[in-house]
Amino acid sequence: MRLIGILGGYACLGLSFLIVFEILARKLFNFSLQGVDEIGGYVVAVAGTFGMALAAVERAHTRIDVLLLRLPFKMQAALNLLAYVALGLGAAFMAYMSWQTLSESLLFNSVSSSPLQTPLWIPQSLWVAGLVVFAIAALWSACRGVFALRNGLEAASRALAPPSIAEEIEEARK
Amino acid sequence: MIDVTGATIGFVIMLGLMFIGLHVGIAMLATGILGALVYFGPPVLMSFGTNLWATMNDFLLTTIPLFVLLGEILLRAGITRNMYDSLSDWLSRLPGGLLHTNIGACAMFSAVSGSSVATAATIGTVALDEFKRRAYHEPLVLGTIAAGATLGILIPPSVNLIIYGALTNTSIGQLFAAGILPGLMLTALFMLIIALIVLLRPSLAEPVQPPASRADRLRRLRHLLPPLAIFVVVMGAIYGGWATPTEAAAIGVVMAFGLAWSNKALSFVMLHAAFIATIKTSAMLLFIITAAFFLNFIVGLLGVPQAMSRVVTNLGLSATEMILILVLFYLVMGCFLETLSMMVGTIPVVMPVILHLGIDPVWFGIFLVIMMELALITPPVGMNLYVVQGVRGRGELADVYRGILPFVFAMLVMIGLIIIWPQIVLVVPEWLY
Amino acid sequence: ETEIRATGLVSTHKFHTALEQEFYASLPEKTGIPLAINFNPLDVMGVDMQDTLRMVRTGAFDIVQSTVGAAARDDAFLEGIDLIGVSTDMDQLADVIEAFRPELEKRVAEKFNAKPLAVWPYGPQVFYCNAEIASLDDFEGLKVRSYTASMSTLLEALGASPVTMSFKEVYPALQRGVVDCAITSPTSGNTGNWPEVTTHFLPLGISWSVNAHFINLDKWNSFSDEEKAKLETEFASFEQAFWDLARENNGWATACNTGGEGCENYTPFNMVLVEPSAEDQAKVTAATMEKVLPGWAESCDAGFADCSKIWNATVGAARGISLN
Ligand code: NA
Ligand code: NA
Repeated sequence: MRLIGILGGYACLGLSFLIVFEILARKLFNFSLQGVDEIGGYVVAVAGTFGMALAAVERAHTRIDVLLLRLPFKMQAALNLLAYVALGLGAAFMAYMSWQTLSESLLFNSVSSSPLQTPLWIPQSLWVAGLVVFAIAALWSACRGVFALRNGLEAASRALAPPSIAEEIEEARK
Repeated sequence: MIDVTGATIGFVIMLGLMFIGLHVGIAMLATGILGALVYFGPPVLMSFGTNLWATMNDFLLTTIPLFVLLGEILLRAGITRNMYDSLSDWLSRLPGGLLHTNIGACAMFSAVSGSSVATAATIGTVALDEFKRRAYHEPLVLGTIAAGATLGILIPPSVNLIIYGALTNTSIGQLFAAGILPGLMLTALFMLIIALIVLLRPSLAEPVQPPASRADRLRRLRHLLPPLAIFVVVMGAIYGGWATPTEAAAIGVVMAFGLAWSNKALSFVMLHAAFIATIKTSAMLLFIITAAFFLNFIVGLLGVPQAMSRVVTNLGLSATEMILILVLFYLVMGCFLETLSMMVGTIPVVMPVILHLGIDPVWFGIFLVIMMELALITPPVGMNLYVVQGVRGRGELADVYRGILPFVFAMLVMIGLIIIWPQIVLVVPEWLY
Repeated sequence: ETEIRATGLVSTHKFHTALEQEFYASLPEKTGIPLAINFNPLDVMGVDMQDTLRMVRTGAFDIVQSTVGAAARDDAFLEGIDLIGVSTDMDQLADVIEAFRPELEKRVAEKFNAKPLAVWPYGPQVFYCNAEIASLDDFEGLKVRSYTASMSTLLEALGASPVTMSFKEVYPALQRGVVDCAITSPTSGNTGNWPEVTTHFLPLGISWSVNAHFINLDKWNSFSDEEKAKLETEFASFEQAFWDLARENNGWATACNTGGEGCENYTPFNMVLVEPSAEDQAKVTAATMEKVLPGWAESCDAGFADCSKIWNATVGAARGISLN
């Protein structure tokens, strides 16, 4: 899973260098690669959906926990499980709908209406794949919550609870 | 299509789903789907995939991961400690001593970081380490960091302003320009209030220390250069005409990369940690943005904008009255809701009213961000309070709550100032555009 | 009651949006058909113009307004109605559209399960420059914002370097010199305040931003023949209103941009009017024939074997040109 973050990061870093090259080329040599903006869009769509999977397993998707933390463990565990099942279903819905869009692009042989003329199925297949992985990751997280039940309700609620502040700061200092 | 009762029920359902702990994106998505099914039936949902693609592959949103990456690299580039020391050379001679350095360091880090939480964690770590050895009133120390760090989303770059711009079709360049002056004024207000408190109660701070030698101070001044250089080049690229905001973010990333390299802070371990944090944060933001765009689409289709405008017309509210109502509304919401969720969850309903009343969307963006800054530091739910308490790692959260109050007051003053003189917000973008 | 979900132009085109709003509000009364119409401008819902044909196909919307060039992402054939450099004035464009209409109808029925009810131009796509220009010869080495593949081809043939960016980035880009020129209609440029950041206005129409209102075929077929006839009559006069708007408003906006006589309803500015010469027109036509048309024919034929044959028989015949 962390590999997703590393690859996505390299893609963003690479994109940054490409954009800087484009700016210099445009400024100094009156020459434009034409389509760096388009590639940037694809990088975000693909790295973003795969990243959603990473964020799901690492519990980084935002939740409001003001009420949650004041409930008994039994309720917390149940609501955490509900949240991750809902996340999985939502992601599955997104994945299914994105598949519809990809199949339309395949049916129409759609090509981006820009100078690059990218066949849309190429970035869109990666995008769909990202959403499928996102759905699997969310549902897998829900399963982890169920497995954790063996160690009691408190453990189960902790397995899916929003990360504590200490964990988040730890992350930021790494 | 829909009346205000229907819209209100929808809004309450969405809040309810958020409060029982569903992911914020899911709560918005579910509310949108529910609205579509109740009022139109399944065919409307068939456009979901195309909407999703159009949202996610917008070049404008490329700005977000790039600015996040910029902040994450700088966080690990080892510039904060030196920056803090150099600032304290100059600021700690004001009444209140080192407390001013906290505000100054936060403001300076805000100029390269797009997020308030990252600013709080970064400056908090360095600052609290420094204060361990000193006799300052602890709540006040904690308050300066929590409040100062909120500047991260007001002083450009700001992830929140990018998201606002994307959702409301407002120019990111103008929004960034509009954040500069209020950001500086708020910094000054924070410092002013520290000075006042310490003049009234000198026991809260250490007496002012004799400054380091002039030569030392000048020598250390170079530590302020890296963040300043990045800020100047990134903003200069936007306003000087070489680059769009997205391109400017890329320039910032390349510069930060170079800086980390020259500081010998660059390693695969460091880079990979920055990458993972970037992708996680960006994906989290993208998920919420995607859900917000979908909700916006359904809300537009349902005719909520027209319904809201009718209500405002019928009530005969003036723009100022509406803004005062919104101050109260966001103040209350901000006590309990996470800030970004508060912004994207309310924009679909509030924005039509704002436009209907002829309020400048650039001004409103800055207003909204200051309300979000307030939400970050108002108890009980305030992310910056938690982060500062987390970095501190001991004592009670109540200390932070106590220390933050003067700064909540300062922000309310700031809100009042921009309502009375909207030019505070608009003068810089008008001058640059 | 029949429910109709309809999308329209981006609401910043205030004359067009007003026309649409009034049309849909009066349609039930004029046709006597009990219609419940939910009409929204595109930007109110944040929908991308490129997606409109897909949305009418699935029935997410019953009627969509679509810029044909944007929808060409999903079918290069549609771009054939308004290829760069083919129609040099609006009368020629009207002939081209009439010739192409039956084929358009066939194609969108087959591919998008839709029917065109009104086909009309937004206006000529002309040049706004922030550089001293007297003719197309001066485009050599200039950076020009392009938004379609054909446009980039044409610009390169003229010696300019095409740069891509989204519409809302164009104004600051012109102001800061990121690009020297940009292309849009006189009205869009005026409402976007482009004359504030440009100096020279070259009203040489290289294409026309052809738009169409499409209805979902299932929805269409749910109407009786009598109802269909009434709807067609109303949409025909709707179409006429858009043509009138294009002629009249772009005249006003051109006058306003250049501080000329007859400036109405748009913001007055003081750009230098660069009258397009016959040589300029010839240069565009030559570049079109040599570079744009062959490239388009190749990519269109790849997806639809009869593409150039149909184009020759319709648009080509109307304009007296032919793809090989
Ligand atoms: Na910032
Ligand atoms: Na709060």
